[in-house]
Amino acid sequence: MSFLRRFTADDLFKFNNINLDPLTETYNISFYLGYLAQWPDYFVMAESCSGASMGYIMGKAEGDGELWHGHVTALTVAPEYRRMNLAKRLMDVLENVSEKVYNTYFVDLFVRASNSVAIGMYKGFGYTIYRTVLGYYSGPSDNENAYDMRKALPRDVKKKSIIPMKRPIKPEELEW
Amino acid sequence: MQAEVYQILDAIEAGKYKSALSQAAKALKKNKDSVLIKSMMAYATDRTGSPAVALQMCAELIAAKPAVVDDLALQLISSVLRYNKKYNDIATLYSNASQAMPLNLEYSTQYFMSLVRVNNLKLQQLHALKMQKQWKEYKYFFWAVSAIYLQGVEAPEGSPNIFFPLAEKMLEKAKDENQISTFEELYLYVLVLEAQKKYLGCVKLLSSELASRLCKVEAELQYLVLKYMHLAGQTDSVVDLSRDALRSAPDDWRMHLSLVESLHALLLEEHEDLSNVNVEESSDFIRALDFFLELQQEAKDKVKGPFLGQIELLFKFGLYERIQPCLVSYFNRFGTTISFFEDVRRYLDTVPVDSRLSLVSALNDHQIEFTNSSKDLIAACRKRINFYKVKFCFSELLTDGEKEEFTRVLIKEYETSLEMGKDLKATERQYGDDCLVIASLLILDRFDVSRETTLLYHAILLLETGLQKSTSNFQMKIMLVRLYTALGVSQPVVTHSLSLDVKQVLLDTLTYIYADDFERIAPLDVSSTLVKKALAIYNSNDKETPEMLIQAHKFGTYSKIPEFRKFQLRLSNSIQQAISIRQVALTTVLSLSVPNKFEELSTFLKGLDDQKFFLSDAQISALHDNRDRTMDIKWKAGGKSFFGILAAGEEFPAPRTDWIKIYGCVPLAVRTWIHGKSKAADAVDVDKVLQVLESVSDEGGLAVTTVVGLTKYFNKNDSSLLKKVVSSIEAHQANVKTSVSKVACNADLKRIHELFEAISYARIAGTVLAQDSTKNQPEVTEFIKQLGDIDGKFKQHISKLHGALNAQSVEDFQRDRLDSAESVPELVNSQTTRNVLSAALESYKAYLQSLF
Ligand SMILES: CC(C)(COP(=O)(O)OP(=O)(O)OC[C@H]1O[C@@H](n2cnc3c(N)ncnc32)[C@H](O)[C@@H]1OP(=O)(O)O)[C@@H](O)C(=O)NCCC(=O)NCCS
Repeated sequence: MSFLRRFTADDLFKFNNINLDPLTETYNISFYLGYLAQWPDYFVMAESCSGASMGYIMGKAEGDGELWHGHVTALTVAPEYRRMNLAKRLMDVLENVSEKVYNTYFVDLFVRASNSVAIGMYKGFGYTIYRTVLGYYSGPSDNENAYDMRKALPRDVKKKSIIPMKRPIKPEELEW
Repeated sequence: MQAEVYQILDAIEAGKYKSALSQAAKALKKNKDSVLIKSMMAYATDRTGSPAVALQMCAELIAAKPAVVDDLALQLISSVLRYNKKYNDIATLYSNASQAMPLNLEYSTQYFMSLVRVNNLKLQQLHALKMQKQWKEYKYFFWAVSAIYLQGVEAPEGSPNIFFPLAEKMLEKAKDENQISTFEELYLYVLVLEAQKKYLGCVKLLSSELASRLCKVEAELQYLVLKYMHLAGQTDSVVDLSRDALRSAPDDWRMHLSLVESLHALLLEEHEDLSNVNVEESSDFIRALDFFLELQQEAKDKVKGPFLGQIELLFKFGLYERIQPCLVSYFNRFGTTISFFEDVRRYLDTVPVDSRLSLVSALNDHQIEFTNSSKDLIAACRKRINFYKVKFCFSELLTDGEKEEFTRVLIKEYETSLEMGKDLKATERQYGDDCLVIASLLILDRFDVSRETTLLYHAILLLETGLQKSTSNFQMKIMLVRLYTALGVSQPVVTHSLSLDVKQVLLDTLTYIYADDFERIAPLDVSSTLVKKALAIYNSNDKETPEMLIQAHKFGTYSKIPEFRKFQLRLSNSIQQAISIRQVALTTVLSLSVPNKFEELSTFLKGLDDQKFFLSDAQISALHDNRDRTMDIKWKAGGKSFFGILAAGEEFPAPRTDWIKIYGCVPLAVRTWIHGKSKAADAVDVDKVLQVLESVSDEGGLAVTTVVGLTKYFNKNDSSLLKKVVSSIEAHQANVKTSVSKVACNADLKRIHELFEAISYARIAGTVLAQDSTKNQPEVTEFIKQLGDIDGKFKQHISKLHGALNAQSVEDFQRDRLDSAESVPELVNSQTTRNVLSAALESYKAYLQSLF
């Protein structure tokens, strides 16, 4: 059992059971507070009936003209609360905020090409692969492509934003 | 000059600070008064690693007349200042600039932001109002209101708060003049009303047309309205609103809670004394129950809310005997979801003791019997695990035989589950992991009674086995860290804690799990590395959070300003920070206690910040405890938690109030031996330090007795104290010699460490005395000689313990530690056993070795 609410700075002290998961990165203070300062309605926490943190989503709005869109920066659910539709509900909030508050044309996100669980899930939520970003996740021990997945919102009447790009792009070609 | 400036800038941008410096020095000869060149010099000087010189240059620039008003120069200077956390100086810098050019919006804004950085709320208020007058923008008006509101929040309790009414007045006016144009501005208004408990006002404001225009997410607004209705005691409205909300969102737990709580409040309003009311027949209850049943009828597959809501209703209304059948049907419906146990955990406590076993067997009747699809197999396994958790919750009622049988079942279940999970990714947990967790908890139940360390090894072996198949299960890692700590085995604590990848803000909340008292069981170099790690987050807080407060002002997110401020204070006044600072000092002092590191020790102690080490009682009790206790496992009804069993009756994490006092004062006391009484203005008087240490000497043991004795000797020159110090160390030494004949657990190492610590302090004193030719009285000579004897005996004892371990092969050690009447669970393979035992043996040896 759960409920969703705005993420608060205090939650940073109690999201351990989510962030100790290996697929969830823990960023610095500026990262979280920066999002909270600029997009407070895009950062949502799911809390359980016993007050535990279950998962959260963080996002932002960016882009120009018809590329004005909502972006999913992080979506994560603690291992013990998976497969309860939480990710779905969190994504619903983000899409709702994108549509109602920011009036964007579409929502997009990046996902590791190997994260088949997440890719399958996003497809189920109506996202399609718009393009591949080569070597987007690259670090000392890491070199992996990302899929840029998109879902059109009502403002994009002709669904132009999701027509897949034919060729893969390099990270430096990204608009943002 | 222009060309020269560009050249220097290019060098700075390219990171060639040395070359920038020499170019700037040259350029300055020709342009003696150029503040730009001077500020570039300051910047480059700072980056080449001479912050003190750079800050001196900045100080001159700040004091310059006329004030610096060059954009680039200002940026460079403030960057140096920010880097060195001289936030007040940045405020002065921009205050001067904006006074020199009052029409410059940039300087004015920078001045305001620099006030935000230092949290000078009064000046923020005044300056923002000035800005609003000047530039007629309402943004500045809200900055001012926000600063006023925060002054209210931070005002000392008890005194009349003039800030909230003032803020309210201003916001009311803004609203009347239609100047509230964002939801955050409206939210600020709500916060101001809330601070004055004007909840009805909040409801009114949030229900206004303005609110629905500004808040685009309906659910968000609805929640806020409900919250304040609740606080305003508008119980009827809350009931209506939450019912409505539940019809469209039946899984929103908050709505269930607010409905049930309000109904209960209504009942209380109607009846003064509930004891003679037949709750079940009250109309509110009946209506509520009907409502839940109705929702249940309509509920889609995965929707739990109406079912759990019903249980919550029974719980709140005290109808415990009706909860049981609901639990059974909830299990029947949702027993396959991982969170089942957490959903019902708090209701399990209400089940009367004599019904618990029948509940367990009723649940058992609802298992999934036969399946063949893999999906169903997994579901069936999950359901059984939920059942095991409930059974464990009531395990106080099981006999020893039943517990053993239960453990066997759990291990069998785990083994079967591995087959289902063979294709799971390394980042996922195996389906049966919790079986091993419960099995180890059952072993620990027995440990709680017998305190047999063999049992700790058994639990470790099970969890290590589990971790091999489920390499990222952090719960197992945390359990292992605590179990190894209980044994006093340090190496795996390091390995597992590193693999938890604790960083950033997690350092504040989780460090305690592996670092508390770690210096007592690990070689000093190992423990000091581990404990130092935590300090990074407090440094980040100092640097990053003020900038984020500035961002919140920039984006007008007023609701986040008090939130960020609270966050900042929770970190800057955190218990963990106080602990970590002291642990770092402790391990540093101990590792520098040998004569050939005396100079280093002396420098280190000189640099201590008294304000951080000497905290008053009031300061200590105001520290924030952010340590995340949810990492503990509390699955048993009424029983001890996982941490509780290992802590043997003590609290874990401990409050550490006395510890914070002791290890704040010890280094300050030792400092006086070397440097005498400090003359610095903010230095703490040695008498005060002694007073604190004496007040906690019971808790502090030998280390404190030793430090107190020696400090008095150095400051009061009472030479009889040296003798006393020696005899108390000798007494402890004799005691350790008889009580620790073999290293088997944390407590053994702790005793040795206490002795080691005291000897280290005495050794420092010995070094100070040996260097001071004025102190060659017979007592001193005698002290130094006796110290030598003590040290010799200590090393002898340690070497005996070490020798005994060194003579053992891993197999010998294993036989010694593990072979008892009980055999290791079959699941564990011999290689795992060997690895664990070998790690223990090596850790003990390394620790003892480090004491030489
Ligand atoms: C990916 C993740 C967020 C999913 O969270 P969740 O709350 O379990 O997802 P939901 O319950 O809302 O799942 C919605 C649908 O996605 C699919 N799905 C989710 N997890 C799945 C899994 N492990 N295997 C197969 N399908 C899965 C299913 O179709 C599911 O619907 P269903 O349960 O009715 O079959 C979670 O697994 C997670 O936090 N992973 C680690 C972090 C991560 O990878 N984030 C994504 C980065 S972009």
